[in-house]
Amino acid sequence: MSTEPSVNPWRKFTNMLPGNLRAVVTVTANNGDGTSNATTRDGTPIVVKGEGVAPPNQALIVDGEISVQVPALPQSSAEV
Amino acid sequence: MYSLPTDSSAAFSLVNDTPLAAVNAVVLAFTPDGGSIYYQIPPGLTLRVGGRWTPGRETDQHQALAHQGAAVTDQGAMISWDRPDDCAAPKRLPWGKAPHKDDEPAVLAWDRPPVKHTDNVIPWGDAPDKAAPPLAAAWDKPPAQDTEPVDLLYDKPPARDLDKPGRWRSTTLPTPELLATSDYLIPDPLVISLGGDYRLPDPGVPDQPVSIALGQVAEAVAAEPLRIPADRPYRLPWGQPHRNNDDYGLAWGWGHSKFRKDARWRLQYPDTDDPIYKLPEPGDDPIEQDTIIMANLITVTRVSDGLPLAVHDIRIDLDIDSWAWKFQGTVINQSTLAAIVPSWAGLVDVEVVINGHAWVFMIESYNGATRHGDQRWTIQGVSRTQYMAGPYANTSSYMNAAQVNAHQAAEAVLQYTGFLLDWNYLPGDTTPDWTYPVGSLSYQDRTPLEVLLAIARSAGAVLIPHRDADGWVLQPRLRASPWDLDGAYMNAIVNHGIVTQLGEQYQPAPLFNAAYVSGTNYGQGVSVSRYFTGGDKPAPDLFDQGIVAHDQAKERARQIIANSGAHSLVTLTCALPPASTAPGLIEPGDQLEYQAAGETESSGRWRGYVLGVSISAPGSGAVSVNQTARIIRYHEH
Repeated sequence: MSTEPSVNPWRKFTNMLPGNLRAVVTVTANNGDGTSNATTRDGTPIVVKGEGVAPPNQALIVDGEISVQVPALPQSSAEV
Repeated sequence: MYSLPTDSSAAFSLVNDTPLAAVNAVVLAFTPDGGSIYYQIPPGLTLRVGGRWTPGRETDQHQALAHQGAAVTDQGAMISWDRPDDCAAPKRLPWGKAPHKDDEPAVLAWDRPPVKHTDNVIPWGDAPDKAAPPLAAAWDKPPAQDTEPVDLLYDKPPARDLDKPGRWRSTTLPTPELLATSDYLIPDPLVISLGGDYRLPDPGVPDQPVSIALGQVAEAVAAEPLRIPADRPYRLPWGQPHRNNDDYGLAWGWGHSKFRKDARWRLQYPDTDDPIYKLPEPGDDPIEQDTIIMANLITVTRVSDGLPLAVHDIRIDLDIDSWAWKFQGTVINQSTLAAIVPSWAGLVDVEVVINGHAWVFMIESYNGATRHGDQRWTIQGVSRTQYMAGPYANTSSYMNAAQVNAHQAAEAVLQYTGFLLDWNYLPGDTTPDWTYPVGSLSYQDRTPLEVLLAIARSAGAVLIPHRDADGWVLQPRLRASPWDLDGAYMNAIVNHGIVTQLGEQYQPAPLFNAAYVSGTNYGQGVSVSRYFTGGDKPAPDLFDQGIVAHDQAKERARQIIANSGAHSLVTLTCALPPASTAPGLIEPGDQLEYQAAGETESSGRWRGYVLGVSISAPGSGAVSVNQTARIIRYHEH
């Protein structure tokens, strides 16, 4: 979701809409109650909905719910 | 053998049948002395040449007769000139070639004269060569200038007069010595014989040498003053002078008196020294201010045939997130509306030109009402780029079965459509290209424009539509980062003098100096931070399925960092001058500098990014045209 300032009416409207939060987390445990424990990229433990991904795989969560399993991608850094 | 007589005297006879014209004297003396006979030293033989062909004496009769014989031959030839052959007369020119026998020197009896007495003859050798050429030349062809009189040109000077004469040098001048000796040529070989058996009577000294000197008493030739040629001055080429244009001559003459025609006009002379009216006191000096007068020109025509259209209240809009210009106008007559309404043949394209800036729109819709005495319709149009989006374009599905670059993938979407995408339109500040791995570029039921937008926005780029061409420019949303904007290229520079309205709205926003951008199934996660900041203010992580490459993610992260922080949205309204006059048309995606009175930001100078522009031309006829640009300024970078 991009949040760049815009003068386009449609973009200004969609920027105000909630949701569509996407993140990739590492599943640490399936809790058996429809939730899973996971850690974010910086190591923060969170609880997400869904048990579709088994630990220790990575899962894409959309609006706090596990969507699909995603592979672990290589990491790099850059400066601008 | 000859024997001396015993007497004291002896008689000698020198036989001399051959001409000895130039011999002055020959003296032979034999003086007996004691049994010996002495001979006198042979006298010098002096030859004086006064002329080459003096009349011969009697002894020259043989030679003269020989010459006479040649004259007979010549006479026969002369007769032939008088009476040409009748049959050959029409074909012969009267000055034609001489008879062949005249050209043959052998025919002429100019051969060596017959030697009657070869024993005691001093032959003169061959005749000088100089005698032959005049005879041959006399019968040669006539001079060339006599046969070609038509070459003379009377109407223009000879060509050599038009050229500058070449430089010339002095040659060897004839000296007096050369003049004295050049006339006489000594025959070579020169043979002088004193009889066949003649021997000098000197038994003691046989074969005495006899000195014979042939020569010419050279007369002193007065040395003429050497005519040393002086350099001639260059002759200027001359020709007919240029002809003046007489038509442009000023017609001069007596002027017409205006006063005389107007009898009522009279100069009024006051008859008093007092002023007629009291002059007002001078006020303060006026304030000099610049005035800008705009003469706008708006034309609206139909593209297919150039039909002029009466469209009023024109408004044109574009923002940086749109892929097509929008058009709105008012039509006030039925005929114009009928010319542009959509028909079975499709939408009608119209061209709008405002002060040299041209747009092409397709009229999508119209609405309005007709009342008594008032006909007014509002028409809306968009750029032709809308043809690549719904509802005009067909949708398709795709997956790349091989690696493909983003640039190639974008062009493949537009293949055979006639629309073009300029990826590297601007030097520098361009969106980098990247490579899609196999299967990473996949979509379903998408229009071409949706695919282009997905490709562009995955790298933080935008599509700027062309005004009057079918295509877009793909460029970064912010070409130069805000922290590099002071050294960046400015597309438009707006002076405060041309701005009629300036508004600003401040909006707070969080500032980021780091961002994490990652794909979900392909590519890599890239953590990007700004130089010299440490990256202590990260933006929320961004996961996008369309991110598949490092450069792509880096550019996307740069846009996230650059678009953060408190900013102002500036609304700037000014005239729309032609492209040759600053600022021209301000377009979204441009980088703009506003110049107030000073050169620093504290005095009113700032730079920003153009997010949108609206061109309005209210009314009809000589309307006022204004462009309103919406510019974003970032304050915290």
